[in-house]
Amino acid sequence: MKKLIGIISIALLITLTSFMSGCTSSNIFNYIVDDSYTDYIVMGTSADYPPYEWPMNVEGTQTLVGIDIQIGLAIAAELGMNLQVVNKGFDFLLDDLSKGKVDFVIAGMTPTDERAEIVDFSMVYYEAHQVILTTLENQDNYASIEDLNLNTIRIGAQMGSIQLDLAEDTFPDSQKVYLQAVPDLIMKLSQGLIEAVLLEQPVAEGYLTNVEGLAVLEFEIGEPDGGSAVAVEKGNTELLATINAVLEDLINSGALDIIVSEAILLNSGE
Amino acid sequence: MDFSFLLDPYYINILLQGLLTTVILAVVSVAFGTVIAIGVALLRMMKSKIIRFILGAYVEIIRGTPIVVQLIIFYSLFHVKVILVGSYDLSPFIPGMFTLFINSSAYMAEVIRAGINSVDKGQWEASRSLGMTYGMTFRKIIFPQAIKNILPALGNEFVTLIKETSVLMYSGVAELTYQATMIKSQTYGFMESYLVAATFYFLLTYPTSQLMKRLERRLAKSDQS
Amino acid sequence: MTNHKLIIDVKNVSKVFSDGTLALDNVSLSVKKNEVVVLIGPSGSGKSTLLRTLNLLESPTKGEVFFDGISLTDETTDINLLRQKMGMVFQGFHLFPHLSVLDNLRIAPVSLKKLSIHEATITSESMLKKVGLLDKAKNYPNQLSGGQKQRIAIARSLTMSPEIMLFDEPTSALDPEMVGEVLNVMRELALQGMTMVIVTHEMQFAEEVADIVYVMDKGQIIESGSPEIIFHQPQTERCKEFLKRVIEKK
Repeated sequence: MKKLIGIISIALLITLTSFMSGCTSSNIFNYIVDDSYTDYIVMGTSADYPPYEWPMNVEGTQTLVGIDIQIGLAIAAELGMNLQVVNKGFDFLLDDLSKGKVDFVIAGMTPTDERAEIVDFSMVYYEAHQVILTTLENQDNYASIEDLNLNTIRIGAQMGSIQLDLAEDTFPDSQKVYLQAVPDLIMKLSQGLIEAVLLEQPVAEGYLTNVEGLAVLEFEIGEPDGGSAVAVEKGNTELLATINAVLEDLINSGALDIIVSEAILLNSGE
Repeated sequence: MDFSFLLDPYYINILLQGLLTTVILAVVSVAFGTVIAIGVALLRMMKSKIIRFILGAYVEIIRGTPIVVQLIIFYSLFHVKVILVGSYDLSPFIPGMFTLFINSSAYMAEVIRAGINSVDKGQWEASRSLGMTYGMTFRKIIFPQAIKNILPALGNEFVTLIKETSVLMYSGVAELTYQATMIKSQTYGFMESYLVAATFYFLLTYPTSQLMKRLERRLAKSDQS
Repeated sequence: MTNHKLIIDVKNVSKVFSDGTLALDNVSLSVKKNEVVVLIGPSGSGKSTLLRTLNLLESPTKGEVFFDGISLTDETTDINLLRQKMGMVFQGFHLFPHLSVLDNLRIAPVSLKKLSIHEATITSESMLKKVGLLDKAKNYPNQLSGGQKQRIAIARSLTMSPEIMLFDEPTSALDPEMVGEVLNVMRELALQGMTMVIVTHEMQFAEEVADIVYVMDKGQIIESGSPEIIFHQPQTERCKEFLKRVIEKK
């Protein structure tokens, strides 16, 4: 019994020291907006979705970059705070918001009615178009929706996403492959395990420049509604007002356009 | 396939950090899980039918439901704000660890119970016939023999737990699979990142299971009569 | 009133197992101090079950068992305390494999605080000498032969200085060449006046050491008496049948 207690104590000690020394990895990313700021505002995201948010090697440290990060920084600046970004799976983020573990969530998230029951959304800051990503070889085979709406065709989309609903509506006869992570869908596309993937346009553009052998079909699908918005805890009207003000400013001044194109460029530089 | 990212110390650093987190998670979970399991096993030996039923149900339910589902449930049950220790956020760590403890303890409780029951009934009879009490018999005669059966299974649980820690990745615990995902997002090398992660896991589990096999052999030898 | 010289008094004991088998059917017997009682009978006759009710390894469904006048089945009785005064030797030896021979002998007296470690060591060594195995004190059970193990088992029970020794087919699991060494130890014990109850198939030995023989069949005692009568002039048919079969086997 004493041995057991001893082992546990040692285990705890090692655990604590590793955390303290920063030897263990972290899913928290801190950004100093201004040296004079003392507090942090916490943003939740799912850094798996370029050009919205993804990890990059910045001067030897793992950092998150992308459109949503830039917007987060702008919000933090407006509030006179530094930014702390928490990275975890998409599904867990909404739960975090409702518990107040994070102050807002920006993750290329489309404001739907179901989500709006749990959280409050800002205005749409970017409206993307849904496109179909396929392989170069197959590009000419699919000229219209009918060409893909066959039960021999496998359509891929991200789980819990708008594209999933779109796939269900637009291609009822096709087989569907739904996965948690977009990169996994791309992998299957490249391997020929699925024929097409539904994505938001800038995301598809990102993969076009980075992965060989892919192509975007010319025809668009779905209506270009939805877009991406920032989510806050239900009832947090004050923060929401600030966020909306920041977003309006970014859009009207043209700063957002620059953020978007820079992010896409940064992504293509990989 | 392009494994060149392995030459970059930045990526190696990330992987090793993830590996360390995984090891810590596994070790701490087995340690605490075993302690809880011993408590459960001892309580189950008590006469109270209610206690035995509750604990029995606990073991069966935890063993009978997927760990991912357990994680999601515990995650929503825990209301923990971001806690920073150093630069590490403990808040997803807590529901994550809790899930692993509970899970590991349920399996271990079964192993312990089986280990205790596998000790020959004659040992109980001989000891009680000498006048030794139930408690004395359990502590001095039965349990030392049960440990021989329990230890190999403990090792197996450790190996299983090392792999199961990967389930925490989506909840925001930066362990090995999480880091593989991050690397994949940066290098666009899907297969490569995961292949490397799998190799790391194997490097952890294989020596452990070999050690356990050796331990098993040594314990079996001492039983020869 | 119970006779003070009665160490064991079994009164109308019946035992039904959970699967419904009637193992003991209204059995009564008694054991006086210094007596050697032997139980014989075909397999399944209930003799082992009867022996095991004497130290409450089996609980009687009906009836009572008294040890030194104290009822074993009474809830207020501290059975552990009574068992300290009884020794039991099993067919399967059941030595503690994780302890050395010496520790096997010492563990009960020391744990129960009957003796200090020093005293327990002296007693244990003397018991080992008695069964002729002092040189094996540091060995572990898995290094011993069957006959040696059983002799150690006997020595282990003796360290508690019991008033009575119970033997449950002590030689049935031994190779023939080792049966003798164990019977010798038991013979010695009987000669020294130990009160014993023995379940055995060794008829010659039984005839030699027994003061009283009980013959059992189907959970009942069908005949009892001195060994001369039982083995040479059995009174009941069933007993005659049983002995005929046993003698034919030999």
